[in-house]
Amino acid sequence: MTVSRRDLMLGAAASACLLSSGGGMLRAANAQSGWAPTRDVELVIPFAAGGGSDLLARVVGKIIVEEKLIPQSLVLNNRPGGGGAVGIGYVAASRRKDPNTIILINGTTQITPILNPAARTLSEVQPIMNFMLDDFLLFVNGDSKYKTAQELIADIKAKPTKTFNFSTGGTTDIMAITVFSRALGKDINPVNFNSGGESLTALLGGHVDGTIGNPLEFMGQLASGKVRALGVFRDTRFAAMPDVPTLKEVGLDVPNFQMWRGIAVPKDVDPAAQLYWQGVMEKVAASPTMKKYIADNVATEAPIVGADFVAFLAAQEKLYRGLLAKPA
Amino acid sequence: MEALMDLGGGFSTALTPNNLMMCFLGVFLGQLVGVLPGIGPSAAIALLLPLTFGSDPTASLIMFAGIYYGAQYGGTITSVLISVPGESSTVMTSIDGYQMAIKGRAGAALGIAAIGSFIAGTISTLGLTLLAPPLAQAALAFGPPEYFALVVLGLVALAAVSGRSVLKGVAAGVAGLLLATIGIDPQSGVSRFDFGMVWLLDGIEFIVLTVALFGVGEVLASCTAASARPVAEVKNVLPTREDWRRSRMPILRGSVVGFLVGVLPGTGATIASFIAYIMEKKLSRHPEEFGKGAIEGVAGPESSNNAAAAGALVPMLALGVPGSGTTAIILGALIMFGLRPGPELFTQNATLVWAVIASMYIGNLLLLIMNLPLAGVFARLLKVPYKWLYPPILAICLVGVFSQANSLEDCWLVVGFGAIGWGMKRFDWPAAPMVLGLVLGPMFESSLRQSLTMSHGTAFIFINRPIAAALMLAAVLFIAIPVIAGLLASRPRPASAGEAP
Repeated sequence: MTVSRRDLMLGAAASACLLSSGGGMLRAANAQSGWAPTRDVELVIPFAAGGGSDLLARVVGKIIVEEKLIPQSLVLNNRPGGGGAVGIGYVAASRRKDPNTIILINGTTQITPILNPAARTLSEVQPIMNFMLDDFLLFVNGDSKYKTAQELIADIKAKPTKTFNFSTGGTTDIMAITVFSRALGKDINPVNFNSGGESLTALLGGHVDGTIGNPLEFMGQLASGKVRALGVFRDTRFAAMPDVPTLKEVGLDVPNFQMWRGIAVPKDVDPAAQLYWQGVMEKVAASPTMKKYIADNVATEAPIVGADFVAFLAAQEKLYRGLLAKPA
Repeated sequence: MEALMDLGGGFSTALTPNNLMMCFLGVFLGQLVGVLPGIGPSAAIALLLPLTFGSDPTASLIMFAGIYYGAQYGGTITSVLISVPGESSTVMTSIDGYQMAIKGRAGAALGIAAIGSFIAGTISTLGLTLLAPPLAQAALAFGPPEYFALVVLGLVALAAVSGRSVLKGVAAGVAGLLLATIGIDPQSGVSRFDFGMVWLLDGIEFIVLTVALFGVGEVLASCTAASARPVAEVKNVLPTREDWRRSRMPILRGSVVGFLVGVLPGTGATIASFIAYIMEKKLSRHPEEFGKGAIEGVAGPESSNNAAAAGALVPMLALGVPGSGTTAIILGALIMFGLRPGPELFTQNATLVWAVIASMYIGNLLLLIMNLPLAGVFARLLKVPYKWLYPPILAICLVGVFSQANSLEDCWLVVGFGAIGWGMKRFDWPAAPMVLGLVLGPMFESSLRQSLTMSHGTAFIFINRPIAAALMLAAVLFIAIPVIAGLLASRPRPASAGEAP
């Protein structure tokens, strides 16, 4: 634990530098990676089974197994808790330097340490590749009296602050609510659940006034009219939902806020192994199964590899800190 | 009757040789993981998921469902034979089931558990067949305040019935809740009470505490008992007519309660099993037999946990929301197979849904056929004197715990809590409320904090909402009635009123 605390104190900026220089060396090395997994590969999922990141990890696993991308078998290990901090902590503490471990990382694992300085940061793992960007939508129950975002926004603005309860299924949802609240000038009261599924259940039961979430968990409900999408948190409308306006269109100045999802290996893993995993993950990203999965979930393909991924993460960190007004 | 026609179609799919094979494989694996204390159905399904990629979704889901309800049968065996619950939902079974085994009636306990599970599994699958969509909709009325009230009611009621002293029961339950706060706070991600030790970040696993308090504690308590336990005379390998008469109603009640509790998203077989136990003890004409080998204490919870497994599939299939940890993984599997869970699953993927439901009737029958002869076989294991069984039981406890997270620290915890378990037995403190406090702690805490967020900090939310208020009132009565009755009984004459505390 003492070691990890010292690592934490290095700060996000310093570790981002370390990471990017490491990535640069990898690219220079460019030789055929002379490494392959030496035992069963453990894919750590720092979230509970059933959520969006868990599903992505399972698709990655499915592609690796089906297309026989690695010579060993693959074991999936859910280590949920603490907004991803438990899983990251597990890899940082128990799997350090282990090239046979890979871990799913996403925006939540990056935001958690900003909100909670005791949590492990992404500087404790080595990012390998990003797969996709998920968008956020504003949802209400299908029976809600609010038919449009304007109606909801007008009512929120008319009532005292924190009158409205929104369910959340994780850290990024909370952050999206923060973004929404700031743009409105009125605070929304976030009711925190452990997964998107539980957040959805609370919305369906009418226990909260609305929610902000990724389209993934809501598509089945949307199709049947059990929930209604009022607006999207990005600059352009979705092709799949042409009727749902962007929040900018309805006069709300929200920044383009998206959630990334990718794969990392433990810190200080041998460069040859990092190169190996970059190769595997590029094949995963190129697979039709992955492309179909991303399209099915109304997300955007965003393959970003190695040093570029590290640079991307540094930019994201800056955006998140800015949104939360907590400079690095 | 449309449902019955659909079910007929389901049977024609489920009875194809391949699907029948997968059903058998599922229930067999479920039975197996149920027996092992370290690994549960959710871990088993998560492990198997990658192997089913690319295969037929119907066959895979039939297998996953089979693992889920099969595990409820398997967990019983170790609970009864060696007082080590294989699953959290069989904790209650180990109380009276093990006492029956000591008296040489392990066969009857296992037999009635198998029969009860079969009846409950069938009744609740029938409920799933006929009532899924309206029930799932009704279950949504349960929000955080209702879940909090339900957990409070469950813990209070259990504390009130599980020992001779309500106070000891409540204290044990609170101790369990306190243990549950160790690790990373599920709401804000702050680590609590980890004393700087990384391995405590995950908190204390339920299996560690259960194995220690029930398994190790029982072994230590028996070793220090003055007289060696006599070899159990194995008689009545199968339940007698009398057993059956006494178990009939507990099985039916357990089935209904288990199914209804299972339908509530977020609760599951564990809560169902202990509600059934409480109910049977309260309704019984001879409650003093509970804890000493009452067959109702096996029949009720065993039926209930099986019924809950089918119940948990209701919100999953009808609404696309997870009913329990295991169904959350099955839900993930549905998406993996390219299906879209949601209210339209029943109409758009009718063949698959009805085949899975039909397979559950078949799977329960397979489990009954498998378990009735096994009950006799397992019961005969106890012809070995317990003194020879103790070392292997301790070994199973430690290996089971180690296998779960490959953690030696967990093994030390087993040793430490085992000593506490022995002390609790010695001084007559009930262990079940402590285990259930630990299991329900996260739900207790999350739902309390969610409710108070919703209500902006006022506790009136538990009184303003009718369902929550009714549950809370019931919890108060559970504590108040014995206390008031005790006060009344302790002062038969006004003159002596001053003496009683």
